[in-house]
Amino acid sequence: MKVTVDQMIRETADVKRFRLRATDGRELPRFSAGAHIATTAGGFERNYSLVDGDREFYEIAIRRESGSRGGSVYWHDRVSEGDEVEIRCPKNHFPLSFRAKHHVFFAAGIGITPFMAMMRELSERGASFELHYAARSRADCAFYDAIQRRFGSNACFYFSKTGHRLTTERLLELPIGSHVYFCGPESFIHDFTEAALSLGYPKGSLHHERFAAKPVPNPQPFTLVLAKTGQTLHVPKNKTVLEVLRETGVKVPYSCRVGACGTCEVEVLKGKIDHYDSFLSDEEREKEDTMLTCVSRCRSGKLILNL
Amino acid sequence: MNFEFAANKRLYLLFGDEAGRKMLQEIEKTLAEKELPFERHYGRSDAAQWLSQQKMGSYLYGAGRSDWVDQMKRLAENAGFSEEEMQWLTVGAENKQVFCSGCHAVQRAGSRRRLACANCGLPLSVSEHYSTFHRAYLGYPDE
Ligand code: FES
Repeated sequence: MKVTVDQMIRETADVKRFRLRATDGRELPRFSAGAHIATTAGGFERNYSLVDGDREFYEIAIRRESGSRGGSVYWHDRVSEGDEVEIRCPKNHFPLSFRAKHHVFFAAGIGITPFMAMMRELSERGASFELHYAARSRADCAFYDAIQRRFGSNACFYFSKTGHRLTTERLLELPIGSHVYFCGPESFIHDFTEAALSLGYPKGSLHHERFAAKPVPNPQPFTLVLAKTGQTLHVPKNKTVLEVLRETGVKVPYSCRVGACGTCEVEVLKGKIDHYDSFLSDEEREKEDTMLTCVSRCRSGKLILNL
Repeated sequence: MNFEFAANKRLYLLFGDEAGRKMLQEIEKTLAEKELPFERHYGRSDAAQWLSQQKMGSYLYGAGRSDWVDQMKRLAENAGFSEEEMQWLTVGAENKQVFCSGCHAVQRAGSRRRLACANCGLPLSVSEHYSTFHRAYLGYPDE
């Protein structure tokens, strides 16, 4: 689907918001709060949460990550108003829970994006929610004014430059029936998830969204054998199983590419899997018979896949 | 039948009517041995309020007569407890609500494991599957 960048708004020094409209002027597909779109710009495919929009336009907000592999830098430095980009239909791996009595959002930095649409939906429904949002400073805090204006009484801000840090303490006080949502860097999601579990929160009440795959500390190359075709493939340390499969022309579906959605799951017949996903349960992992090819690797030098 | 120990909770809530007290003793002993924090609440009249004041991370063990359990379980759900955060045991004759998978009628099964649906006549067997949505155990067609 082709969209045109209709407007570009600078949120902070590092964050820009892009308003996209269908190039052919038609209505866009509906989306639910927490949904994201995959975008292709300058050859980079990236997922971004929809912060606002409806059938007329979509809005995404992107933080310029200079250390990244280039997607966000391209959007910031090369995309201008009037440009055309390719997107895929919205998908939602981070929906609001139906069961929650109270929704609690914990955001760090650009992790605020999915919560913008979620807070809008909940306030329209008159549902109960609160936001805890950490940024370096007020100047670095994307959507500060919009949040203050629309959801001010439900929001707490934490600016680390002024020494006011967001901690896991709030988790101690939340009433039964709360659902918590975490979005931000890996370490942030990890710390909050661990804290909630150690307090006794049930897994079903925890929700998180990752924008990037978990880091693999020291990736090693390994061999793939495809049982059905007999092919042997080499996975170098800088490529994922999914990338190698697709390059070889093996058609495996995928979506998030950060190990969160389960679309790329493949059956493993033999070999020890090094799991880096956040989708499978502990029991599923222990069985060692399935893997998410977009992130997970191998600990035994060789994996035999049922492909 | 006994409670299963749920590990890693910040607070355990033991909740019963007169009849349920005894069934809670064993889990209470387990918690005491493990030196875990728990609170006992027997035969409370302000149950709805007490349940809704609880914090995330607490875990509820409830035991009592069938009707009491049904009623309290509903209060606990309304307060926000999910299936993952509570366990219930019934003393004496069970009187489960059963959901007919044929016509979707809900009826009482008494202590029967199998019955014919009073509404559509379908022979049902009462499963262990409790549906929070229907507030009843699912009744599957009996072969
Ligand atoms: S593509 Fe989503 S888990 Fe791999």
